[in-house]
Amino acid sequence: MRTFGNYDFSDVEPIPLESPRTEGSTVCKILYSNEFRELMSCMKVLMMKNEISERALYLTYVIIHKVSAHYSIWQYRYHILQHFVEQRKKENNESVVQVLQEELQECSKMVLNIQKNYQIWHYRHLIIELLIKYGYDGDARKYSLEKEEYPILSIMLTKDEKNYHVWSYKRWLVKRFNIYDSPTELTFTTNMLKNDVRNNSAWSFRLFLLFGYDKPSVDLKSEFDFVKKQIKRSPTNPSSWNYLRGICDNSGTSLCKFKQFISSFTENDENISIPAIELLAVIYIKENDWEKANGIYGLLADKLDPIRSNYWNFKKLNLKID
Amino acid sequence: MDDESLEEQFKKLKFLVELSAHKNQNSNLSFDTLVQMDESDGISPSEPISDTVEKQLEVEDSVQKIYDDVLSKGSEHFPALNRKGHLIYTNIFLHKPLPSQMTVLDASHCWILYWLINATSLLGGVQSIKSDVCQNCIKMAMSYLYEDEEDEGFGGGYMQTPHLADTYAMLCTLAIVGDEDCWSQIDRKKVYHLLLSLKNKDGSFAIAKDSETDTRSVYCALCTACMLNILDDELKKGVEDWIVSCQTYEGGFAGNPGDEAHSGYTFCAIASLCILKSPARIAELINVDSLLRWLCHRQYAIEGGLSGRTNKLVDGCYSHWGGGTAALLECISGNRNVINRTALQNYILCCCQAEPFGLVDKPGKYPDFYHTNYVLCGLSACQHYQIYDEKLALKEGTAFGYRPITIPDEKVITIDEKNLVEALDPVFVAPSGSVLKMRNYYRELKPR
Repeated sequence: MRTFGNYDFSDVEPIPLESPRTEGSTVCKILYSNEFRELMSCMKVLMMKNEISERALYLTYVIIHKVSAHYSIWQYRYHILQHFVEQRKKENNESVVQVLQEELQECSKMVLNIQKNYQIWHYRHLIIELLIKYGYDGDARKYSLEKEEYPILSIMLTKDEKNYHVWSYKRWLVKRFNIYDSPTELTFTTNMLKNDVRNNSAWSFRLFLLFGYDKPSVDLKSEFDFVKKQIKRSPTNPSSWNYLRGICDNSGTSLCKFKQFISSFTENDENISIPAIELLAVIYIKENDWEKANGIYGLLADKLDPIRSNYWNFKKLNLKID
Repeated sequence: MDDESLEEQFKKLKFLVELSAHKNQNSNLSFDTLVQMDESDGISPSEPISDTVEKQLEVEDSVQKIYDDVLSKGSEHFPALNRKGHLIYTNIFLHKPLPSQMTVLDASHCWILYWLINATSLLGGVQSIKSDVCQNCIKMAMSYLYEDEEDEGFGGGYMQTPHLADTYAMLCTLAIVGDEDCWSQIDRKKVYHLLLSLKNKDGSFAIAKDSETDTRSVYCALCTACMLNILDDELKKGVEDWIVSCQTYEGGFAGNPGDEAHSGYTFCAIASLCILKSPARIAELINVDSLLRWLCHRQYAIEGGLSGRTNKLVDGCYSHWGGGTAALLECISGNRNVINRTALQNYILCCCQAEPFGLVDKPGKYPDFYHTNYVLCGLSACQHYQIYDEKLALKEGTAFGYRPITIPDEKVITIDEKNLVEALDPVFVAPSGSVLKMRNYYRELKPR
């Protein structure tokens, strides 16, 4: 008898994991363990038959744990759950919410071991949508971000503060649940930046919160104060300078307003900052003071930032064209 | 063959490679620039220690030690490209099965094939791949083709559902090693149907059924359609605007609108636009100056290598994602040299070559197929300009208008014969000319 977990698979006739047509070729063939071979072989048979069952669901779980990038197994798992949920909904079974909440918790457990993965985060979107549709009758407000999302996201971003998948997922949540205004989210970025002012993901997310949609109510003054404070903490940090430029662009604020502030990082050797020197050139251009801008680009190219001399010289050249 | 004997084989090879490496060290390449590079733009001493600062200083330190060592040994010992070694590395895996630890790559068979074949062609030229290797690769590749009543595409392995990244990787591979016989077995009507079924309302494409959307999936979709000559208005609809909306306030492109600028996604975005539009038109669509600025800030003064995002560490693979973007951006912006090629080549040669073979992210890391391929792609980007040839574009289409030339100017980069790798098609990331040949096969077929 063939069993995996508590399930019997004796009726499943194993199939090869490689195409019979590739016999004799060795390239790209993996020397699978016998255990994996049997699991995967069973899985493929069930997928071919499109079996919707508890045992199939279990098998997807086992394989995903071994190969988290197995997108077709994720697809199949979603397919099975979708069927389960639709079935239960038809039967007026109350357990829909519970089933999907358990699935989300399972995801949370799994993701702790597989941080860099495309599939699991997207899968989470899909399950949340199922939950809203079938569990909450389309009412997204019933989904508790405090309970289902914030704990796991906070753990994930403590483990890896710049995990692209996690930040991207957070961005999706904000948009999906329209929580651009959420003080929780803004405070979260403030705290992340308190720990590491060079966390560019946190800066980028913060800008998305403030300008990700047409929000008339951004408190610009406090935001400018915030970024100025962060720049003082680390005058050479490109993230905060880029952010300053970013919110100026997004709010239509002229950089010239910050000339004095910027200049204070260009004058003495103690806290000299290349991003500030560059910004000064941008301001000179806005003031039509080409000569000074030209001087700065020359300085950057030849003395201060020679690794980027190609770029600074290109800027210089374009000054003359303009 | 089990894992142990594979390891044995490695040991024997290591000895051989070490022997050959000794004979290879007499270059004076880029030595002077290395002396100049010994200066940081980095972190002020007063800044509080954070995770970013700590990791950055650690890498700067390890790279500096390597450069100091190279400098102390004298210019005649400047590290050369270990071509023989890296070819042994790719060839082992083009001939032997993969050890069981690689089961985690069970959904990535197509990528493995592509990385190995592309890296091998960059090092030795397409013609250096033996015909039995080509035939075996074709056989494996065709076994990953997945078909149902309506759709067809390559999956990550045998009997895996279609996935656009795998389809992209397999088409590139078949462009390199394939022939008309295997090209003719792809049902383009069904691939078209697959692409259409994955197209989102906003113009972008999902990478597979019920799967994620990002500039990477869009790139793979457009490459697939363009290579098979099935890219039409229906597929193009809205995609250009979607890509443009991924440019961030920093200048680089994100995976999705609102996310952080990232070199990998930036390459996908720019190369996608190059499939759709001429460089001159692209310059009107995006903010070229902010992209230029962001991209050249990916290069770090001490390391010379590129990072993928602001305040992240250098990684050899960004030599391609950033360096490859730079090659295209040079055509778009008119800025002949976007990054410092010499400094990047130094990083690749001194810091990205593992012993006895294979290429890596940064010193101390182990080689893998992904880094071996993309570090070499980056080296190729250092050594070649891409010229957008209007006449060629008129004849073959915008995506195929790029013609590489080996850079002759020693002030830009010194290219020693023994470090030279093949030129790339800058849009599709396969040896120059290979994709065009396959596309022309499809173009000459009657429309299906």
